[in-house]
Amino acid sequence: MLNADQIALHYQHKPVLQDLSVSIARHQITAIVGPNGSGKSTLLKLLGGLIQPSEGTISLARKPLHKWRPKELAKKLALLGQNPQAPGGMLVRQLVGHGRFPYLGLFNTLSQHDQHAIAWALKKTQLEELQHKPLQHLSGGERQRAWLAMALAQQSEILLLDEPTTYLDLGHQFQLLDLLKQLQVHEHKTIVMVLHDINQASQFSDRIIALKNGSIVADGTPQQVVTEQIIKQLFNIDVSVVPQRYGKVIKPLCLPLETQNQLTSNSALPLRSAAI
Amino acid sequence: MNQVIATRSDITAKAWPFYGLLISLFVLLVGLFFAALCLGSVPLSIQAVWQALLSSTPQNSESNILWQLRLPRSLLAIVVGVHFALAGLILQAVIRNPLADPSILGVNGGASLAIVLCLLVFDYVQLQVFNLSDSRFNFVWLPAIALLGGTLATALVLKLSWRQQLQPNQLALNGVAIGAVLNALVMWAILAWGGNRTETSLIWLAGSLYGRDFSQLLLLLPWTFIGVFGCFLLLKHLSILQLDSDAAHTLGLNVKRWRLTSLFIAVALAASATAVTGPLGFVGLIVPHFAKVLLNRLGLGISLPHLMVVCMLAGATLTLAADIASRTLISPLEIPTGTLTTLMGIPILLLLIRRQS
Repeated sequence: MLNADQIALHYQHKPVLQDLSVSIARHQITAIVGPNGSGKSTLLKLLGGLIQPSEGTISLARKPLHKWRPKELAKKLALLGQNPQAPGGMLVRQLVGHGRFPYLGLFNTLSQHDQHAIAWALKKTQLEELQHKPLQHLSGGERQRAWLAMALAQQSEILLLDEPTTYLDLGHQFQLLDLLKQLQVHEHKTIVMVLHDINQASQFSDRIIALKNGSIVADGTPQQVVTEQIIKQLFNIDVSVVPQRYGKVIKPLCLPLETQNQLTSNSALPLRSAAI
Repeated sequence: MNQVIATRSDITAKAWPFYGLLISLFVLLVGLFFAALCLGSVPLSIQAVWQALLSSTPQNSESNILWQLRLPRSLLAIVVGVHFALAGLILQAVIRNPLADPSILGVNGGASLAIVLCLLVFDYVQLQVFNLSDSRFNFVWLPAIALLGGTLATALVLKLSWRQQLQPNQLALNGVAIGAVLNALVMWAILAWGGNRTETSLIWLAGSLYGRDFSQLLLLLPWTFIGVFGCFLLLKHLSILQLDSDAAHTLGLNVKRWRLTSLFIAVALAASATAVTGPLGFVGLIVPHFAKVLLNRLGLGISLPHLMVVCMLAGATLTLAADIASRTLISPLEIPTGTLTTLMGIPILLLLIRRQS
């Protein structure tokens, strides 16, 4: 439904992304992985219509993104950036209420339906008790959930998330990913997210797109992408990939191996002499 | 059902402190208003004020003082306070920085320069071409001229910041730089070619409500209505503009368009007020800051609709109080009101800077 067709993006004459085509399938969770600076976030912003490609087009329901009216697009597609900012005094409920902006005309205020959508988003993210707190009194994880709630209140079919787990501890990371999985299963959301952790990507997504230097290295199911060769190619480390059972499904799990440097016992010596 | 009732009572429980705040601010404003009518170099009793207000035809000196001097002046202080406070609030939302003030975007500088140049050129032409020594300048044009100057200065600041996508910090830095240049030019113009206008120009530049009558109030009111109405229409967009631009974009807001619209309304409010009273420094900085502190203390959170109403009341109260102080502190002499608000604003500015760094 969301298609990027042979897009390229240049920034100050340097190519950031080149000759890249992706087609995001309905009701799937797609993870974008890759080393730092590979263009993951840029690809996500392009898919969300925040930046325009230098070449090629991105279209939603066969209509190029830039031809959509901004509010109509916002009803179909919500994007949560890596480090979103709001005034610290804003209450959680106020922030989440902003998710209803695309549905409001110039004169009307939040309707009963909008209030229900806000309440639903607060419930899904377990923020009901915190809804009257200002954002500045929230922990990093709670704040991340508040922003997710805002995106959910948009009630868009597609959710684009840029490293949604970055500021969270392990427990909250899995809670959030679990919530996304539920949203996919029960609410039929289409989710695209940039993830750092290849194992989380493998566990929670149906499809992984691997980027390096602005081009797609691999694109397929976790089984197809999380392989020793591809991980080596992406991150330049040796891993061993083993099957791991998560509930009913089996997904590949990659474990980094000790590198050649660490095996040779003398490897620390040059460093020490340098320190002296 | 239970849940619905719970949220209802929750909302009303939250609403009461807000209405309480509004009522106390309003009572304070009304009290100050009567104080402003009574106090001055000629003190009037409240009975005398009341009687003079009720009688429509001015007969004695008391009703003259009231109708010619104190009433228009106090009403003007209230209106101008609303102008600067709302302009500051809008700018802070758009620039996403509590340090924003009409002076930051060069509005005050641009408006001042336009007015000063206009007056000086007019005087010069009148003297040289028509050989008239008394000025016949029509002051109705002042707000429009100020708006033109303020808009041009702001446009220049925006042009300089355009390539950085109107990034807030870039905008603020360019604004401060342009503002400094403009203020220097204003001073130069006044001192070099001021002639017999030097003194009045300097007083005007300090921001004063001295010698204002109903004509100036009537001059300003249309701008007030347009500005306040525009603010209320803008509320939702402004609220979104407070978020970072990526978030605002994904919510379907045309960020550049609404930033410009909001900036224009803020400039119109600040410039028109500047035209009448001169720049009342820092009102746009102090008032939104206090409004936020008040709302925060009451646990209401900072929602723009609340802020806007509180800012209008608090802005009016502050300028009225400053005006009373300016003409009673060293009576019968006057301290320019703008000097007082600037003195109040500086500590708050320093506090905000410290908090940001």
